[in-house]
Amino acid sequence: MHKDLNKNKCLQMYKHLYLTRRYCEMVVELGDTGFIRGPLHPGLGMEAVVVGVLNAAENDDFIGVSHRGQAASIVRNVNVGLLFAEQFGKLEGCNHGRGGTMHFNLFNEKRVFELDSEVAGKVPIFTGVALGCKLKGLKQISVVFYGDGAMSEGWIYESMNMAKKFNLPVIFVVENNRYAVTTKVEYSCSAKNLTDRAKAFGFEGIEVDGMDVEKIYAVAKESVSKVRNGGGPINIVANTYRFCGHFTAEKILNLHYRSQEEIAEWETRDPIATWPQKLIDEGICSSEEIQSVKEMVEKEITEAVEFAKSGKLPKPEDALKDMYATQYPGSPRKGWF
Amino acid sequence: MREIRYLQAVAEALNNEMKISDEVLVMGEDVRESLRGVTKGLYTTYGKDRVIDFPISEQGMIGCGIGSAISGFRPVIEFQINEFTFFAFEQLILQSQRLRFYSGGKIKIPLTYIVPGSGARGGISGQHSDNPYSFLIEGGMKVVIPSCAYDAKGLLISAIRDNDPVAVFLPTRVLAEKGEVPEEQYTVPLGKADIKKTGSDITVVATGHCVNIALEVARKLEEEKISVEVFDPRTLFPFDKETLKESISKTGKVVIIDDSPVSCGFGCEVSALIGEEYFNLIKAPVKIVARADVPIPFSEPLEEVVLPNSAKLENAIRELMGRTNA
Amino acid sequence: MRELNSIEAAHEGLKTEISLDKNVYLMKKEQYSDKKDSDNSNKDSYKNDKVVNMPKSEATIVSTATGLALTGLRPVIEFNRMEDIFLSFSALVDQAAKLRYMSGGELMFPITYLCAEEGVCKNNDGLNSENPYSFLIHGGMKVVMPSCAYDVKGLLVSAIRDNDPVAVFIPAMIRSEKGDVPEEQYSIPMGKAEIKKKGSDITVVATGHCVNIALAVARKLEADQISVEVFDPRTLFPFDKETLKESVSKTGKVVIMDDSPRACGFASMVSSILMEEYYEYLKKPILRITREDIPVPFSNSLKKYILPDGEKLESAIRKII
Repeated sequence: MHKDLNKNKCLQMYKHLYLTRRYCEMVVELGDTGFIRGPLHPGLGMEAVVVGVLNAAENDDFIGVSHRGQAASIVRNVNVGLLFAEQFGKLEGCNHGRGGTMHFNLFNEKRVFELDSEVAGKVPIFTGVALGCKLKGLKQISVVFYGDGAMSEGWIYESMNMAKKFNLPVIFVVENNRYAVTTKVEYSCSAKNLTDRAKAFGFEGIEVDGMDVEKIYAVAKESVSKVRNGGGPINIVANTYRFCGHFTAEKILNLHYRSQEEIAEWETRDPIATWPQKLIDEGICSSEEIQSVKEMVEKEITEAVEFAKSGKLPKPEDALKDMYATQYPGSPRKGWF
Repeated sequence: MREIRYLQAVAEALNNEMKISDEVLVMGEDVRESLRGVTKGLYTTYGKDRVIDFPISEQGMIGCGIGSAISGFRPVIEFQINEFTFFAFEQLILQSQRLRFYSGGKIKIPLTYIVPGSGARGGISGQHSDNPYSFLIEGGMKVVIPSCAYDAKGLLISAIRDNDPVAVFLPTRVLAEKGEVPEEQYTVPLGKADIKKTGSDITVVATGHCVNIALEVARKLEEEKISVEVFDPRTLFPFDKETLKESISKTGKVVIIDDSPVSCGFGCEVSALIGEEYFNLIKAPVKIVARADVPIPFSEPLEEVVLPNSAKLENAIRELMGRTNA
Repeated sequence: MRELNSIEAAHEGLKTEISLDKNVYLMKKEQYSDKKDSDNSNKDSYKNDKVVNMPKSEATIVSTATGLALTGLRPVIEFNRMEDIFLSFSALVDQAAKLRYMSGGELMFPITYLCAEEGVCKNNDGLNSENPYSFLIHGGMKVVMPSCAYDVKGLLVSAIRDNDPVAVFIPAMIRSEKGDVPEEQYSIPMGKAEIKKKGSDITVVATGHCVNIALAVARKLEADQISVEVFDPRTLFPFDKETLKESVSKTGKVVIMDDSPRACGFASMVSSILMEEYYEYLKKPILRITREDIPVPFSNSLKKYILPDGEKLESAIRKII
């Protein structure tokens, strides 16, 4: 276990894991009961990757997460109510109802960016953020997450090339959950080892067990330090798994691309189920302390949902606002005269 | 005649074309499992050499499609998400659309692009709710948007049999609509519009799901003795201006309702065409009801405001009926 | 006043803006050895190191600029081949143009895309003759297109100072045209058109190098007592329809001349605004002189058929008058 992982840190990370899990489960429930509309992409089972990496980074490092990366906001102590409110389309939401699910933006307050939902779209953006850090002489680094499916997008490799060429402070984290919707990673990705991609560009690629939050923390802590000290980009490939479908509509669509046995096997490695017991067995914390965290989380979730429910919907006439930072008369045009 | 859903009609058209001709291939992402429903069952029937799942590399996929088309196949490429057309824009416009011309007509590129579930699906926000057909029209590509199940089957078959790239947009809001569809293969000719409802007071040019909006408004206004003619271009490019001319000469008034951006969208093109060639046939301004020039917002009250809808169409028609130069 | 050509004017405006604002950076794709930079040299000439030479990865360059904007910088990207716009299309239209709105107005992306030498020029083949600005207008991005050296400098400065993504297109055909350009830094307001020549019989809306063609045709037609008003939008989007209204209410007749695709292009947008909002002023059809809806061929005689030119404009004007 890493030397940083004392009782407080472990309980804090457990809270992040459990709050993320409960948040995702609540999102599914709220989707089923009609409070949240549109397709939902929860990341049940994948929480440890973002939680481990974000806890290893500094609070002011720049983070770009994927559509299952709400754990980043949670690690940065964002009020979960802002996320629910956004998903309810309320003004109080972090994007004031404009972005919705998959597009949370907390960049100004917490340097967490989930805004762009293009496949692998955040990778070149966060390579740019790293370039900005370098040009401005900032000490922060940039960390960007993407999935195994996104690994086939060309601009990731253009970004890696640029990151190495300019020696940029960026960590590319692959959340390899083995499936891009229904397509297996073995089918879509030619590399035998996913870390080979980074090596082709001349920098380090590290593979880690994405269900083990301690290992992720250790790998991330070392990577963050190397990158911050000018060592150039690093790639971390975290092997994880999503227990739920690609999106909640998968139940209706009746897609069969993986077996129930496989899902059950991965569920036995669920860190939220297994890690607390390990901590208790090793004497890091007590079962009462774990229970106390769970109760705190339930309270937070309940309050967050109430906050979202009591929020206000935007006025229709606000639909055209905030397209431009520099306004000109008559724009944007509204679509009917 | 049996009634089937629009999506089923599309799937049937594709399946039968694949049966008729070995040249027809399907390429896309998650087309074996058929996430979007258009390619359901095709992998089981036709195998891995004709139904090909690609990694998420749109430029590469379109490039492979172009190469296959030049080599004698008829690929049908499915875009899982509307905005993937932007990812692959250079391949779509500068390659698939231009290469035949630059070869002096020597090569043919019989590609079909299908965009299932185009347009706003409700709660999926700015980067998944586009209707990118106006971009392709500007690039010079043939574009069809069927508005009902019958047209969907016929137009897709025509698109596959056409020897040029044709983009077929299947609007989200009509995918579940039922309609009468013959069991045999048949074609609906490209470049030919359809008057979905005849009328004499005003022509409403409507595309995709806006045709249903127009028909609904037309039915309502009948009670007030306003006779609306609903003109469905079906093929947006090349556009059937002869049929439009006949309609406008009868009514003298036009409203265009279309789900692409108000600036440089399809509505602008129809209006500009009327302004240029049929100016003397109209008696009133040409109104456009289109999307606002903003990405689609998530929150429901905002999403409704920026999209074309029946209230806006009705207002536009009423305004024109109240003010003409006649 | 001294005279500069468009490229020199752009260089001067850009160089001064870079020195005035510590956040402005220039990003250039690695140069081909036979093409000159907009500063007429083949190497960086900016001493304070505000230039970043990027690898040949167009989409990533544009997206990287979006990332730079997130850290508070104001990048200017120089595109030297217009197909780069197509290669980076989703980064432009699906990211840069949309992200501010989707963030609920919280984020700002003050990026400038400098597309110097867009469009047709001598001996270029079709693929290098693209005019992609209308595609960006579909996507809601601000677009400016100066038609003379004075406007080039002023509009580029405004574009850099604007807090949203702005694409600046400098037509290849005005590259070497000289004009009076003040030495001091000045800006021309975006969203404001200019009447380049007053007239009373017909309004010609012209963009980029078509403005010069329109002025030449206007001079010629004066001899036949046809008074042509030449309207230069300067900012294609957002479009100054108020000034257009004043012009059309005077003349009642419009020809739009624009070197981009016909279908769903800039000309069709202007025409649709006239047909909807200013219909009462129109006395005649609105003619469009644009590219045909086919690619630009290599052969010059074929090019002549496809591209808008003075002869077509003159015959369109005569047809309406």
